[in-house]
Amino acid sequence: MSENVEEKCVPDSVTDCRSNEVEVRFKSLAENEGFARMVVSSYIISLNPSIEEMQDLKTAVSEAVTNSVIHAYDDRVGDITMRLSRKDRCVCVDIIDYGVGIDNVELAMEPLFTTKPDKERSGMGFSFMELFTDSLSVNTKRGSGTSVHMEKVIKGDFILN
Amino acid sequence: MENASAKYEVKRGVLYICPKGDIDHEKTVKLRECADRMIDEWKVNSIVLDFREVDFIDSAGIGFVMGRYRKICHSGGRIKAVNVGPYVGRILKYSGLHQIMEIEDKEG
Repeated sequence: MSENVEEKCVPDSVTDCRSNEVEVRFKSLAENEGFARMVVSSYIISLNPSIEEMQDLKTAVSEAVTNSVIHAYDDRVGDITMRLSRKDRCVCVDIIDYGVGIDNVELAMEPLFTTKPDKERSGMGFSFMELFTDSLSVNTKRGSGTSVHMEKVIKGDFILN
Repeated sequence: MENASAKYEVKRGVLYICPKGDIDHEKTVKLRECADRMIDEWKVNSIVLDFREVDFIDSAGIGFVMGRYRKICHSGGRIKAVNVGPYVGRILKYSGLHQIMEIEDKEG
């Protein structure tokens, strides 16, 4: 978790006026895990992130997208939506799928828990998402899909800022 | 042997894997297939993972390392990570892998 987070993403109103909203929709294919990482990297580059911040957010996004790729659609291919927005230096990322949903979110988020040990899943995805972002929340509905919301304040490279 | 995902070499029962690029779920699917084939064909008992060309690894990569460890540890085999950069090192340590494998940082 980031230390001393001075800025929090406090919404101004119910509509929570965020800026520079970007939405990307892609298929739940493994090849799009790297694509999603590239998208978020490009999105935050203008905030001049430190190397560590860039790596943190890329990792968190990779985990969320990979979860959807592996779990959302069983053996089918479906859509994943990635929504990016920001409020000042706070970046919001939503990774949304329209698949099977999560049975027990609390259990799913427990470190090392996985429903697919045969696929060598380490069960650390959510732990890494929590570790590398300032806030994480998961909404899910059986048969409708899952939405992961992450926020991270990009303080920036202090040398250059 | 070498392919788009990694370079592989077996020397005296040790499998050296030098993955290229990001080690994510997509990459681990390819790495696992090759690595396991070589482990079985060449009766490999230890593995050295060379991270010199790796700038990214997520929990899927951790799963891959853990899977290879499980495959060889029952016969007393070991896994070692070399040329580990600061980011990869962080991820390996957060996952606790430093408890089951030797990690050698990249020099310089």
